[in-house]
Amino acid sequence: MMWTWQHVLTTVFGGLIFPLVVGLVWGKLADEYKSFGGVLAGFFIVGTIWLLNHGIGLMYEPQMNGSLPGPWSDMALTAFWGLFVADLMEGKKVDWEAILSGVLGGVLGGLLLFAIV
Amino acid sequence: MNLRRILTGMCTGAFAGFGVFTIWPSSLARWNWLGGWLAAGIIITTAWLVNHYAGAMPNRGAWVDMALSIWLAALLGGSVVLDPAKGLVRGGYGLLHGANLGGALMTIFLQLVGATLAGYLLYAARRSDV
Repeated sequence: MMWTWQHVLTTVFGGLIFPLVVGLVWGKLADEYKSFGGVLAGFFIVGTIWLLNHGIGLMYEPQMNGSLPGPWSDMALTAFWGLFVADLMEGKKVDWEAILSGVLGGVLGGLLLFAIV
Repeated sequence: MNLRRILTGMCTGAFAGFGVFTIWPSSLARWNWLGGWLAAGIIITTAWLVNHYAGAMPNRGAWVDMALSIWLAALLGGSVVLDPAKGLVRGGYGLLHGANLGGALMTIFLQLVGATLAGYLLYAARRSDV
């Protein structure tokens, strides 16, 4: 339950590897194979890294033990943040329309998850 | 600010967030780790086609991935499992259920540290690319 330096190392690495692989590979797959490239990326990037981060558990989530397990912090956070930061460093501007869409999408998705069972 | 574009992105972002945290745990419960791998192809792929290939989520500046909606959906609403034996049951709880954000803060912080490093490495890789 307690954090150790081992957990810190594996969680940081898990957070590093996901956006790095997405940023390096996804665009190339989509350029080469269009929509089918995204299908390949879904399985071979997200599926495979999910196995490492959450299946095996590189990302330590001690809050998931106990009587009210949660809230879950998914590796998705790292995909968003890593790609966003890379673009900001490149000098691209913050698109508030996109941020607002993403946040409202999360709120509506969360409400649906809350409401269904 | 275009309201209709934001509303479209909100709906397709919610589709990604709700889809991931229902299909993924269910697929995992049904087929174990292979189910976890397959779930990515089942829902991430479809959500990507809508949000980023067809472009329902607006993106004119620094890239905002549908992953933002996915992360936030689980943080707020938890997850739901279609269990092969027990039927539809709750997997995890979110902030909307009263789960304590403090428990996840360390994970969130370290995830952001890793992702920031990745962002820098991507930026450096692109610069040496061109």
